[in-house]
Amino acid sequence: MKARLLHPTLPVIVLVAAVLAGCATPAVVPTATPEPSAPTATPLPQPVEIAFWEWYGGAMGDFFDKESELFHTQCPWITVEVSHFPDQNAYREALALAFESESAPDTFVRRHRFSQLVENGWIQPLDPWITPQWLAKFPEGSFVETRNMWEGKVYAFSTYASKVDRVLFINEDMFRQAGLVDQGGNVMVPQTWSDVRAMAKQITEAGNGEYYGMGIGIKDSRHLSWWFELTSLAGAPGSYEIDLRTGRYTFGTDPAYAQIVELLLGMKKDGSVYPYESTVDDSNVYSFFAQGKFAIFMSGTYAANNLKRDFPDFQNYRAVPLPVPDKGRRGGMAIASGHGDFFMSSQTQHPDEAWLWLDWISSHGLHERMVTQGLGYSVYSELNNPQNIPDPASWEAYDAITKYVVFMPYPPACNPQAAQVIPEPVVPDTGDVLVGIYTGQIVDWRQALKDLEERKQAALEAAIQKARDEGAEVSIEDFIFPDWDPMENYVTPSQE
Amino acid sequence: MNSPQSHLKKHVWSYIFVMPMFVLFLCFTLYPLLASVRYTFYNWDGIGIPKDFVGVTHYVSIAQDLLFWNAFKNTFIYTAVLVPTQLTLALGLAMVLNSRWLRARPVFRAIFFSPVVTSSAIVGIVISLLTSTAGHDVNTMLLRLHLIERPIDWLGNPHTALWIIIVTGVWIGLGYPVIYFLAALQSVEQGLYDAAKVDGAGGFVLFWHITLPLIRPVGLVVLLITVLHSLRVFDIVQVMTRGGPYFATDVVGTYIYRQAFYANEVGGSDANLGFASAAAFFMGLLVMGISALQLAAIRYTAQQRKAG
Repeated sequence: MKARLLHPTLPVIVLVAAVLAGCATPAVVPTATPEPSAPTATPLPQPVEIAFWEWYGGAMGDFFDKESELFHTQCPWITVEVSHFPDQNAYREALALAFESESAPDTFVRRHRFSQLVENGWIQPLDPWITPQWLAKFPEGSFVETRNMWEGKVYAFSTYASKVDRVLFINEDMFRQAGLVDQGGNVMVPQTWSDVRAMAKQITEAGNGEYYGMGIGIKDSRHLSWWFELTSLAGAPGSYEIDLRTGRYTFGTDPAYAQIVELLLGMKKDGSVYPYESTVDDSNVYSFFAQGKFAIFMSGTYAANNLKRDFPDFQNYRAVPLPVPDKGRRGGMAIASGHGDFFMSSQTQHPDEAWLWLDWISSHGLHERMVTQGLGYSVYSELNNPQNIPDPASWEAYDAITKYVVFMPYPPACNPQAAQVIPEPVVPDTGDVLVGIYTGQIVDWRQALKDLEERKQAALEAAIQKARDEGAEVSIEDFIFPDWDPMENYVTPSQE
Repeated sequence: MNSPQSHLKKHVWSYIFVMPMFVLFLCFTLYPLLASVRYTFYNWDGIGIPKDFVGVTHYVSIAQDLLFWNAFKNTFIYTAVLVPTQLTLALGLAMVLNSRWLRARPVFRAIFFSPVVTSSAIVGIVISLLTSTAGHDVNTMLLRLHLIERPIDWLGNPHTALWIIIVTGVWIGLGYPVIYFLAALQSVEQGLYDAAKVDGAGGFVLFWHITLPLIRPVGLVVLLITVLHSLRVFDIVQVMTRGGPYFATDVVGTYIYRQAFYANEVGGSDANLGFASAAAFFMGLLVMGISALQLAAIRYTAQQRKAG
């Protein structure tokens, strides 16, 4: 009886056992970089492995792999295991789960809000290791309370150049075919908002239905909202959206926003825009551009990396600065100074080794390699020079994303409790409203902008009240800096 | 007497083989379902344990949210158009596939079923790219005929986008009801058709008085499955339009996704998984209500037919 019962089931049991055994394979151990021979007789510390998580992926991920190997040659007892997470949302969740299960990496790239990292107790300050000399190598304004400092302690450091990574890419061949060349034979670059509309129209007419002047994507509403960043060149809030001179949103009151809407609707009315806007978003706009669908589009300099990777034979393009208002520039591309991307986990068992790896990331050597490989621009501005960036197009792109940058006031830097003011996202948000205006679903767009202004203002005031209810001493006054000139830097005090 | 103990002893291996699936069901279906009900009463960003209790605030907000009802309306339109279209086409195809004169039936079955096994996301991407390539050819023809002044952005036009998504949905899911109907048709005795033909019955009479009544039980099941599946539409909408332009194709699935993950993508404030869970549960209640009405209507119709 037993044999009859077991016999038909035995193969199944064996199969299940085999599957379960296969699931228990040990974790893959990275190939160790051959260690150089020990230069001195001093015995090395015990070998240590530290984990580093990043979400950049692609070329930047490969860069960190190579840097970890280079670091290992200098610190042979430390092996950095780099983990790549190309999906940012998955990275956020994985990191949160790792901390919950106390298996967090020793070091990681930030994807959550800095205040969230501190409040959750996920990170630890770098103060035990940093020295005045280490701090001094960073430019002024690099260390800002609630940006990379918390209650006077340093948790991270700035890595990248202060920039607003938004440029216009132009197809030089199409510009030439449309006759947009100056007397010297150089391609004319759109300087003002009116130039953009006029040149897009001229290129479209030259294209005769084969190509268009402008490529705009509405598939992802956030990308259409990038056009509102141009308003900062007119002295309006731009991407920050709150006018820090008054503490108010001004979508419906500042004429710059209306001018941008008129620019977009004007280009559409002219027929200058590639008519399949719903197919285009920031992840594929460079592809349509390279295929000759349109002559101009707005994106970040990372689009150039994508073009080089996917369309290496397509080279007749340039990245040029954003156009300014017709009446001249009255503001800069405002950003807050200081930021932090690389952190030490509070759960690390090897803080000294983790510090050495973070110090490596902050080193001039790594930054120079990053710049020369075209992977980014360094916070050490002296490294961003034509020698390290020999490609004229890349140098022009660097100039384009940094020339209009100004540092804006940062409310939490003056009152750290202002960092607890986190307005709930409003829906429809800025990009949604712009899409509705662009497609014609919103007819009274001036009223829609006014409505957006009021909803966002209400969300800000509700967030302030919520922070106050939770004990924060904060008010709308913390978001008002009446003495700020949008053409000038507002210097935030750095750590002394 | 069959006592529970003897029943268990007699069928112990059946229970053992069912147990793994039951455990998986408990862990990955029932527990998350009950947990998400709890989350609906909290503001929760997905990190740590929910602490900010808000009671039924989320349900009240959802009931008052015009965007939710817009998404519900679009979902309802999607279902109301897709279900009869897909089932009618599926029945017709199944009848053709069941025809004795059709050669290479397995090949055609595979062809009609292939969209089902294709990734919806890939299909969505391909269709959205086709609207700019093949759609461009259609636009060129319409422009030459002076029927339009400017090329139509098929997925960016609020009047055409939802219909393209519906057509895509019909195509992707067509294979399942075809297979179900084919199985039902093959269960109908050929002798009934032969006898009816002897009495002079033609094609339509055979279909209306023999085929339809005999496949009705399967048809009702297919109807219910198709309705429930279409109410859960998300992937093709998210890939093709993300609910745009300006919420013209927003369905409940994309509405929930936006509540759960939009803030994360923007990189600003926190996501609110509590609100998203409430929206999902609210929709679940609505779907259950619709299903209950559907079943009641079917039973009522059946009773009426018996009484008649």
